[in-house]
Amino acid sequence: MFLTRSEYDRGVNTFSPEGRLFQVEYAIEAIKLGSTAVGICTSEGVILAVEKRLTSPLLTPSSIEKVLEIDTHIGAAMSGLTADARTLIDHGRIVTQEHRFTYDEPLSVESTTQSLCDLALRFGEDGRDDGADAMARPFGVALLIAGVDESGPALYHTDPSGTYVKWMAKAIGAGSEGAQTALQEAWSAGMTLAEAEGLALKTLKAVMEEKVSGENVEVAAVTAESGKFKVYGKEQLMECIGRL
Amino acid sequence: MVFPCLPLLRHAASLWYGSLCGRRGYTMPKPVKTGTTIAGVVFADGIVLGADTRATSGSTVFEKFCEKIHYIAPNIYCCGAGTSADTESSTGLISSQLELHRLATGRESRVSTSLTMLKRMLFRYQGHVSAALVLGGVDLHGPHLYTVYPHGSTDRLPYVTMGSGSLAAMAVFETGYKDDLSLEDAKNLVYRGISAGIYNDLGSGGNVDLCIIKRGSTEYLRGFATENARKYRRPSGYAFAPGTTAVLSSKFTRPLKEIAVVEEAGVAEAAVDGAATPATGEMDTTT
Amino acid sequence: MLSEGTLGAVWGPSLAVLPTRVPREPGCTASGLGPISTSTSILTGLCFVRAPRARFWFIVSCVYVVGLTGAFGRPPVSGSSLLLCGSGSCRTVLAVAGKDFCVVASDTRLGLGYSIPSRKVSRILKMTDKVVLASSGMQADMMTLHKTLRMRLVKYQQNHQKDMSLTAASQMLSNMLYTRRFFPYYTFNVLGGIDEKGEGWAYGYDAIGSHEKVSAVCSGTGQTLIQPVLDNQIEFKQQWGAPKVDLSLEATVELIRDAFTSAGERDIYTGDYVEICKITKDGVEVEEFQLKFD
Repeated sequence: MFLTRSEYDRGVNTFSPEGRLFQVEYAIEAIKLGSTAVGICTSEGVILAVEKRLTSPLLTPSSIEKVLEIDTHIGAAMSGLTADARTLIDHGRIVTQEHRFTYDEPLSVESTTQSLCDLALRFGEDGRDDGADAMARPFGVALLIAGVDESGPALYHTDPSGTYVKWMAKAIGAGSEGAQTALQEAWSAGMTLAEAEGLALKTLKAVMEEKVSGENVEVAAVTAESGKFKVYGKEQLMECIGRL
Repeated sequence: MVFPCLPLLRHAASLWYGSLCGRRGYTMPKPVKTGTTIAGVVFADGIVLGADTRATSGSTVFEKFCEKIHYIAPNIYCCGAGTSADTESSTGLISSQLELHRLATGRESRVSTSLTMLKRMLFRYQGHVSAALVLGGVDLHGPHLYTVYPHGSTDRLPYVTMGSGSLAAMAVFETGYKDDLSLEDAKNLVYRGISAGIYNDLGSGGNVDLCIIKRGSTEYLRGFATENARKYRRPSGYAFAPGTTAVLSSKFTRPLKEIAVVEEAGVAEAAVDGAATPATGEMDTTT
Repeated sequence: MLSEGTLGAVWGPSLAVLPTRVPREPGCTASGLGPISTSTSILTGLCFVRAPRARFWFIVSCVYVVGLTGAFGRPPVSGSSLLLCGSGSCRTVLAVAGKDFCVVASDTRLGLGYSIPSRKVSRILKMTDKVVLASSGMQADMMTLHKTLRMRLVKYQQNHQKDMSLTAASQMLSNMLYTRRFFPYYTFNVLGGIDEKGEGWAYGYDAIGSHEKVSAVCSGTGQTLIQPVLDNQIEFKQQWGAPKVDLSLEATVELIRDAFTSAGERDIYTGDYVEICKITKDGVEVEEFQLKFD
């Protein structure tokens, strides 16, 4: 793929003569190795669904967390290096709490996403006065950020370059190409949240090698009605797998 | 002149009281001051005195229409600035002593006499009596205008100002004063001087009072200018229905002297002794 | 937040305004304009003192000098007002909230001891179309606070693509004041506006950020005169059995005009003009109302 690989792929601050930052592109490639995650936005709320790769029967499935809460009204699904995602999400948790402290209101989904992207873009910088350490490389993770604010439900996708885009339905990870095509065909503007839930699991099922079970997928939703982000518990998860 | 030394002793005691108050965490009661603009001008036929009408206690206006031009004698008046009680009692004390002096001598009081009495008294109190005065009058020697400072020093000048607004008023006088002004010009100059104090000094405000003293006549123009009347009132006013103030309990006590004991028809005796007719007129009502 | 260095630069020009505002005659006696000129030269010198700690003690000593000369060099003014108005300031500010509107008002007199350096100084900051702030207290601190607030408002608007709400503004102001807990801005703020639900509300603050959401609040030199009237007329306090009716916007403005007129009668630091900001869903309308000049 990268036929012109050269000394330009070493430093994160060095453009190649063709105008590319190879380290960033490699980081985006790393996501394509990650497990698949899909997010679907409707007028009623947003659904996130992720695949969990259980590499061994001895592994405790609940110890793998791929959907995390950022604030009560925002959550994120990840694909790529999950350790990097923790750093981002911890940052998001701090930013949203700081905003609540300063303004006595929840931070909007876009502003939350923006602040995560600001952090993602700090690779190559020196350490900062505020105590933030220097980063050696870009984050190797993509996030699907789902939340509800005063302008309604929203779904954002971020990548290691610090770019964010708002989507109605988006898939990331190893199976993202197939999943994205499936979402594009099935998504409609008038979808209910229940329909979106079904579509998310169906899409995931299509790209997963294993059979979908209560162990190897995680589903979460944030609804416009409650304004709260919730990761599905075991029972709720089994219910919607049952509906498949 | 006999002047009782008792007030002096009392003053020393009050200083001690003040320090005691301080030590116990209390403060001395705050006196009312006349932040004040007062002034006077000598004109061709006599004196024009002027004053504002604001008295303050700290930053609060205590009295909006107070009289700061005090009577000393029919031909002498005195404007006072400083602590209200001090200026009023100083001028009052001197005016009553002059009244006695006139009765004893049968002569018109002289301005210099009142000046000497005031300054001797103020000096004796070493500045503790905070009275800053503008003294003016016409006597057999003609018109006289003086200022008296709280420690007892005095000036004799053709135009003077005193009080917190004295700089504002003096600025006007320095610009506008001429020797032998006409009455109208003198009145106008003093009016403008006092107005400068009223509008530019926060300690002064309200109306302009003037007093014109000529040989054989004195004219006191209370409210010569009344430019600072209230400008606005809420159109709907403030109406409170009867009963707006809650009555929590009430108690009626009848005066004992009105209680009369009737012995027989036609024979009435007033019961003077309260003990003989124990509190019959007492009711407790609670609502 | 601004770094210390930047703050120094901001303080400089604000304080440097003082010498031009205060008339200073050559050869004037110490008793008259002494304290003003003393404080002026020291405050001008302050612009060059950048080190935070040195500046702190510089200001402390300035306040001390102003306080002393103020107390003994000129006609004394009572304790609290001396501190308030000795540093060039005072002012009466208030905010009254209605069902779907809020009125924020402030008189425009700048008092300093017994002088009036200016008759028309606005102390009102229109934060957004629905939020207005009025500050009493020290003029220089108010100017710095408003300047910092303006910066924060623009930053918020640009970061979040929306105007700050009343609640967000109220919380932000509180935090800004508390960051200076041990060297406060000498300001007493009232905030008024319309919240996200369209309801009018007022907020009253102390100098270090304690605040309360109320329907009517007054702050500054006229506070003791006006607050009881607002309590009685807006919240119907001390009115036994009186029906609690919501005042219309016009009735509220009439009450405020009357309250300021009355305060102007009895408080020497309240006077000249009142700026009355009427905040409705359509925006902020400012009315200028004249008081007495004495």
